[in-house]
Amino acid sequence: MCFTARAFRVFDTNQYMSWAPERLLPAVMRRLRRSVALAVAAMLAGFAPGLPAAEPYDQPVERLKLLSLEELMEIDVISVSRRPEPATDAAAAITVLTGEEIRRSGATTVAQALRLAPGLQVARLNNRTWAISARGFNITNANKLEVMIDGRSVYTPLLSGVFWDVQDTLLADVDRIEVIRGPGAAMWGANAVNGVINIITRRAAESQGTRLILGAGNEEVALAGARYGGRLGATGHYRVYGKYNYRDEQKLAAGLEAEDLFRKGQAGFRMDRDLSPRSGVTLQGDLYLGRLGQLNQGDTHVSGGNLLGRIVRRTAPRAHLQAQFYYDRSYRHVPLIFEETLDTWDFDLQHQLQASDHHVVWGAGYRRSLSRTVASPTLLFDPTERATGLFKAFAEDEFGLLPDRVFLTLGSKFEHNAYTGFEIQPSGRVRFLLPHKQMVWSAVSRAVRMPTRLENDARFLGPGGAVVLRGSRAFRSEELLAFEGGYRVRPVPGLALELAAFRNRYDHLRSQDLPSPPGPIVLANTLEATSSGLEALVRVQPVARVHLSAAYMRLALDIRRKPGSLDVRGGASEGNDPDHQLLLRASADLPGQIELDAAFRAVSALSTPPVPAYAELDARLGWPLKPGLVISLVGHNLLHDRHPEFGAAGPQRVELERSVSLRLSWDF
Amino acid sequence: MRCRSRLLAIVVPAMVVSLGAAPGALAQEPSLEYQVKAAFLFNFAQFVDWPPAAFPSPTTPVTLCVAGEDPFGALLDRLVAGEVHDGRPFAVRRVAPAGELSGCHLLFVPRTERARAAAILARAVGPATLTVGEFPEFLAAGGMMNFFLEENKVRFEIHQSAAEQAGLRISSHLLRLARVSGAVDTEPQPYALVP
Repeated sequence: MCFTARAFRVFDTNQYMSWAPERLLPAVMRRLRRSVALAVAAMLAGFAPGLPAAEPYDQPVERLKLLSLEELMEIDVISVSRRPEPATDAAAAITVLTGEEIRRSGATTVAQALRLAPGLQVARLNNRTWAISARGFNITNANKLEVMIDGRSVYTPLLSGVFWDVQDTLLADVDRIEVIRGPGAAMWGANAVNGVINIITRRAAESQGTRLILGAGNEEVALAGARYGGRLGATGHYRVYGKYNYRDEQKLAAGLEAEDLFRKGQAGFRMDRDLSPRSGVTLQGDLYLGRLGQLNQGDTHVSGGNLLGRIVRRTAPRAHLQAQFYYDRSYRHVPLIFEETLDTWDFDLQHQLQASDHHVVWGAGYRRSLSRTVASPTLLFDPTERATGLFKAFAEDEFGLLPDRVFLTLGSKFEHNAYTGFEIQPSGRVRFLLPHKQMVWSAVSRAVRMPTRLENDARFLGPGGAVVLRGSRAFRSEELLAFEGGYRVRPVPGLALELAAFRNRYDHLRSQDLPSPPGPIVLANTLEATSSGLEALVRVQPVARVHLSAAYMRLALDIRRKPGSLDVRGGASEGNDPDHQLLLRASADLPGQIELDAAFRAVSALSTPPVPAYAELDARLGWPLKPGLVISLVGHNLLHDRHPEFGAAGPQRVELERSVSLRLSWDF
Repeated sequence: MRCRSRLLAIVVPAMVVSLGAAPGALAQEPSLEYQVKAAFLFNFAQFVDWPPAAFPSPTTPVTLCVAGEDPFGALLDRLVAGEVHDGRPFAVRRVAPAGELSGCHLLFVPRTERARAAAILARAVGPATLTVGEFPEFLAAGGMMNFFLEENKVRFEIHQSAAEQAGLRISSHLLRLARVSGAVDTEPQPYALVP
C-alpha cells in the first residue's frame, strides 16, 4: 500500500462500493426501506421480488463506460465490491490531482502544483513564501490545514502552518495529490479544520528506470531532477531521486530586485518490499538543504530530513493492519528573527476491517515534538526548548442505511494535547446514490485547531527589547462547527459536474487583545467567524484527447469580535481571501503526440491588506523528440510582466514576474 | 405525474433488460475484474490509430475479437452497443483459437488460451491487429498490450515497438498510463511460452 490507510479509508473506491445488496441490514432497515414511498421501490416489489434495489441504475455497463482510464486503474477488482465507482464518490468535497495533470502543468514544486486544485486559495508572496488554504483564513503559513506527504504530517507544531519552501518532493514521482476541502478532523485530527492535502508518491515499482529532468528559463534559471529505480531482490523495488531549484529574484513593486534568490536541493529514496503475499514494508526518506534570499538581510538557511517506515499486513480478506513510524527533523534560521530545530517522532497504528455491513477503521498513535529555538532580537520563545506530546485515537464506521442507496459514516477523533488536554472531534456524513449517476452528500463536523508554541510561548520584542506581543498559557483551541453538502453527477460520458456548499461557524479564533491597563498585546481567543461558500466544477471531455474544466469558488467570510473582546486587529491577521475565484483548464493531445495545456485563473481582490484582483495564465507545450524524450516550453504568469498576489501594499511588496522556461525530460 | 412516467420510462426498460437476459443473468455477470478489463478494451480502441488499410470501407466496423473462451459473456457487446469510433460502429467477434483473425482490429487473448498464445499471435501479427493479453509472458511472445494486477487493481503494459511494427499508433496518453516495461522490450523471452 503506497499511502496511509487513513487516506485509503477515505479515498479508496473499494471502501465505498462494498455494500453488497445481498447483505441486507436487519429488520429496522427493512422497515425503513419499505416506508420509502418511491415509485422505484414499488416497481421493484412488483417486478422483481428479491432483486437488489439498486440494480436498475447499476447496470455495470453504463457505469463502466463513464469511467476514464485513470479511474479504471483505481478500481479494486479483488477485495470487495461488484460496483465500480470512481475514487471521487466519497461524502466530502474532494479533488484528486493526478500525477499526469501535475506533469502537464509544468509545476516545479508541490506548492505550485496546488494551483491546479479547484477550491483552494493559493497565493504566492515571493520565491519562497506561499499562502495556501481551503475555505478561507488564508495567511502565510495558514494554520487550519492538515498536509501530509506519504503519511507524514508536515505542518509545523510551532504555528500550525506549512513552510511550503521546504515541503516538496520530485513531482515526477507523485502519484496524486488529494485535496479535501472542509474538515477532516474525525480522521486526521487537530489541524484538519478547513481541509486536508494528501501528497502521495508512486510506489517504487511504479517509478522504475532512469528519468532526467533539466530546465532553464528566465525565472526558473536552473532546475534539475533525476531519479533511478531498480529492483530489490525478488519482491522489492527501490528508487532514489534528487532535485535542485535555482530561481531568480522577483521584483519589488518599486521595480528593484526582491533579493529572494531561491536555491534548494533535495534528495531521497523509497523502498517497497513484499514480506509475504499478505504483508509489505515501505521505507522512505528525504534530505534537503536550501538557501533562500531575504530582502535587506542575510539569507534564510533551511535544512532537514525524515525517515519513515511502514508495515501493512492483510489480517483477513478484507482487513488491514498498518503500523507506521517516522522521524523528521527540520532546521530553519531566519537571520535576526527566528531559529529553530524541530524533531518529531510519530508512531501510528491503524486497523481497517469489514464486518458484515460495517466498514470500520480505527487507530491510535503518539507524536512527540521537540522544538529548540534560539532567541533573536525580535522574537523569542519562552521556554526556548519545549517538548510536547500528542496522543491520538480515532474510529470511524460506514454502513448502509438503505442498501446500495444511502450510506452513513460516523466517526470521531480523540486527542490529548499538551496545551488543552482532551479534544473530541466527531463527524457525521451521509451520502445518497441517486438514479442517473447522481450523488448527494452532506456532513456535520466539529473540528479544532490546537494551540501552538506561537500562541503559548512567543514573545515579540520591540525596540529596546520590550515585549510588544506575547502568547498566553490561557490560549485555547479554535473551534469549528461545519455544515456542508454536495452534489455530483455524470449525466453523459465525458461530462461531470460537482457542486459543494458549506456554512462554517468558528469560535474562539485567535485574537490580539490589548489588556487594560495597557501592556503587551496578548494572543487570546476573542474572535468568532462565520463563512459560507460555494464551489462548482465542470469537467468536459468532448473528444478522447481533450480535457476541459471550469471551476468557480465563492467565499464569504466574516470575522468579528466576540462581546467583551479587547482585540485590536479585528481578524485582519487571520485571513485575507478572495470572494471569487475562477479556474479554467484545458489539456489536449495534438497530432504528433504534442501536448498542449493551459490554466487560466482569475482571483478577485483581497481586502486586508488590499491586493488588486488579477488574472493570469500558465501554459505548457510539450513534444516528443523520440520515445521517452520530451522537450517542453513552460510559461507561468504569462499575461503580465509582473503582478502581486498577497501582502501589504507598498514599494516593498513583491510582484511575481512572467516566467518562461525550456525543459527536457528523458526516460531511459 | 409526468415526472413519474418519465421515471417509469427509464426504469422499466432497464428492468426488462436485466430480467430478460435470463433468471440467472446476475449470477453470470462477469467478475469485476473482467468488467473492468472490458471497459479497458473499449477505452483502448479510443486511443489507438489504425492504418487506413485496416478499414476496407468507410462503414467497416471497429472489430473487437476475443480468442477462445470469452470471459466477458455478453458484456463486451453491451459495452460497445451504440458506440462509434471515428464514425465507425463497433462489432464484437468470438474467434476460435485456430480461427480466422483477419478483420480483427483488437484481439483479446484470455488466460485460458495461454498455452496457445504463441500460435495465435503468430497469425495475428500480420494485419493491423492490436493484441491484448492477460498473462505475464504475453509481451515476450510478441503481444502488444498486457493486463496485470497490482494491489488488486488492473494495470497494463505496452510493447510499443510491436504495435508500431503492425502499423498501429498508440496515443501517448495510453503510453503514459502503461507500465514501463523496458526489460520486456529489450529482452524477449520466447522460451517462457515453450510448454
